[in-house]
Amino acid sequence: MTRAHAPAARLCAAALALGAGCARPQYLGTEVPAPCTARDVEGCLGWMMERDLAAVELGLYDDARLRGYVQGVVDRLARASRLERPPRVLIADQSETYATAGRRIVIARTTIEKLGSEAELAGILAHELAHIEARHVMVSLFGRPPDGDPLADRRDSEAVADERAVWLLERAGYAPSAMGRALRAVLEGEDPEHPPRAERIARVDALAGGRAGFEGRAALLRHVEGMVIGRDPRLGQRVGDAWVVPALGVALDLDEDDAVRSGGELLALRRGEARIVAYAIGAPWARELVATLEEPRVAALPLGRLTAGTVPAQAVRTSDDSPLGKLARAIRSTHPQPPAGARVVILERPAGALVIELDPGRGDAPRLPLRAPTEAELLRTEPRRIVIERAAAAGTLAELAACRGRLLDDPARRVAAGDPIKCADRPARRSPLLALP
Amino acid sequence: MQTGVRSCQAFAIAALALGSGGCRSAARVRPAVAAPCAPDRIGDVTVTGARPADVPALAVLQGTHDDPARTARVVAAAEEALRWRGYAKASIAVEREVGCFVELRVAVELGPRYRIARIDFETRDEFPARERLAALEDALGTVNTPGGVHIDYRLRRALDGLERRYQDAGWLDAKIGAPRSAYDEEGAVRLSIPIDAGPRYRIGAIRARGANERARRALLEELGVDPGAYYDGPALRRGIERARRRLDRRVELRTSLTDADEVEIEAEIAAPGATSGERP
Repeated sequence: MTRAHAPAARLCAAALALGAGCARPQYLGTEVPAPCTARDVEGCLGWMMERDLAAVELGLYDDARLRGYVQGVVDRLARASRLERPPRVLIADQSETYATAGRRIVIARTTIEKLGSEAELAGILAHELAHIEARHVMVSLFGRPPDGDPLADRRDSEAVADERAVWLLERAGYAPSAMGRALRAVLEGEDPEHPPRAERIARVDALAGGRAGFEGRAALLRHVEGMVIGRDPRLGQRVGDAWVVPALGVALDLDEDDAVRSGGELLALRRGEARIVAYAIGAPWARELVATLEEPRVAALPLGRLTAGTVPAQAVRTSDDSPLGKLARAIRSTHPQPPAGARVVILERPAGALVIELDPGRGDAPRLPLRAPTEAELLRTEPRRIVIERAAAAGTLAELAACRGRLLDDPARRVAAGDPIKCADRPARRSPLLALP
Repeated sequence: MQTGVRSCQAFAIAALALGSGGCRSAARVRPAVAAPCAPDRIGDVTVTGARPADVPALAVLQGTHDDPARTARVVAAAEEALRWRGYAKASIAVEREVGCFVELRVAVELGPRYRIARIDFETRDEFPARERLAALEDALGTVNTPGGVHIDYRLRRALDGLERRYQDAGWLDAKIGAPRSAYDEEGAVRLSIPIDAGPRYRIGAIRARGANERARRALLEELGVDPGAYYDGPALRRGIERARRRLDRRVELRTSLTDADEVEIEAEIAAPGATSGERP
């Protein structure tokens, strides 16, 4: 066999383990693209991560117009960079913004929501683009573990990306001072992987020197109008005595004695000695989990196929020695999934699946009535969205009492009459969830 | 300093590379924002001996604060990244020149690009040869495989995994030594990996303890291992998992080795209350 044919042969083995025929390696129910069969680890990894967002985590924010706009900003920045091709942008329904392998930038919808102009958006995107230019992602994924402080290199990379972003803003014609404002808007706490917040802001402000350029406030606001604000309750929300997941079209009735806690889209419930955890996942990932369950029992419900079974011990899972198998296995280990040995019930729906992990304690597994949500429940889980209103007069937003109780803008912002103001369509509602004692 | 015209030219070049519309679209691009002289800011990064794309972590220092200590750390990371691409003896030197900005002159000595010509295992054991080689292969077949590059710390990590697989397959005393590498002037690497597999152990006596006779019988059924068969770690773990679920009890496993290269197994059913399995 010649060297040129060797990768195809190796992928044959991968395909078998990944549940496909020899000629068609698959990942999460889809044929892998060319980078995965052409030894392009960076491209393949990027594709897998994008696939995960949709097929595993239900994590893509589906708004083609907004995505196109954000992509346009990245394209402009990329022309100012050393990259030959612009990175691909994805908007995530999650709280993290990051650069991934394979020239992809994932920007959180909740990050976009906090920004006040296109230049600030460009600052955040330029930071991620700088990571891609420098190939920091590949170094952090595959680089040698450092001998000293394992996070020192990471902090260097973050500082370089901040500072390089100012340069990219300058070159693309954006106001370099927007970088500091963007960091002020999106950075909330400290973490050991980044330099301290105050230091980051001071360093980019020093480079920007207060210089102005294109801001594009109206352009940003025009494109974010209608965007969901904060956590999207359609991925799971308690409504009265039910846990409702509108994205799946499922509701789970709760008992009045249940102790309920929610973290994001996760439901944690204690009923007597039994503990239950429920969360939504993508349909392809659900199919793979169902296929691995031991002692499966299947029931056809009006809502969809319900499979109960036990997650096999970790050691039982197939080990595929092909390079693609190793890569897929490494990524799969990061997917949301029940722990080895857990008893689970998985309800498969067209848009995804509800996973319910059962720890029955000393008794039998608790009864969990599943049904379709009511119209009223769906109405209660409609997310808040951005609306753009106009300033009635000149002044600060605080002086104008703009969008009372619904303001998403900086109250100290000074506007002229008729200027756009970022508001929510309705005030935030306090979460009705109870905390576990 | 950048002007709108220069920005247009730069865009035209980029547009040509992208096969799109050149300065027609550039009319929509806003002029670059001028940056005043700053002797503590890196203004340009020129790379000789390689393409800027070969040392991307250094190339993006353009426009950042001049921080010589940080630059030294980035140089080390950039050299490491070159090793990933097969430039095992690459070195990078950086000179700074202070003017309106700090100019960084990056001199890269790539050296030969090495590929693994062959990997030899110094052993005569019966562990499947294909599986042995596949255990080392990394990063879509670009690292630690014939035709790929040699990354020593990943090889050592893979060898730790291979050693555990030997032990799982019954070579319980297996030891894998430090790999030896030979680089020639034509860019070929030859790796040699010593393996002292030792004897391959078989299952000896199997005893069940605790609970009642019926539960002990169930435990032995679920373990599914036969005296005389080669020791099989994963199969034994699966058996314990099955027994744990069937009995709804914790099962503790003790093993001992005999002079006859056998593994004696004693499995004990724990008192009611706990359900997590113990692994050998």
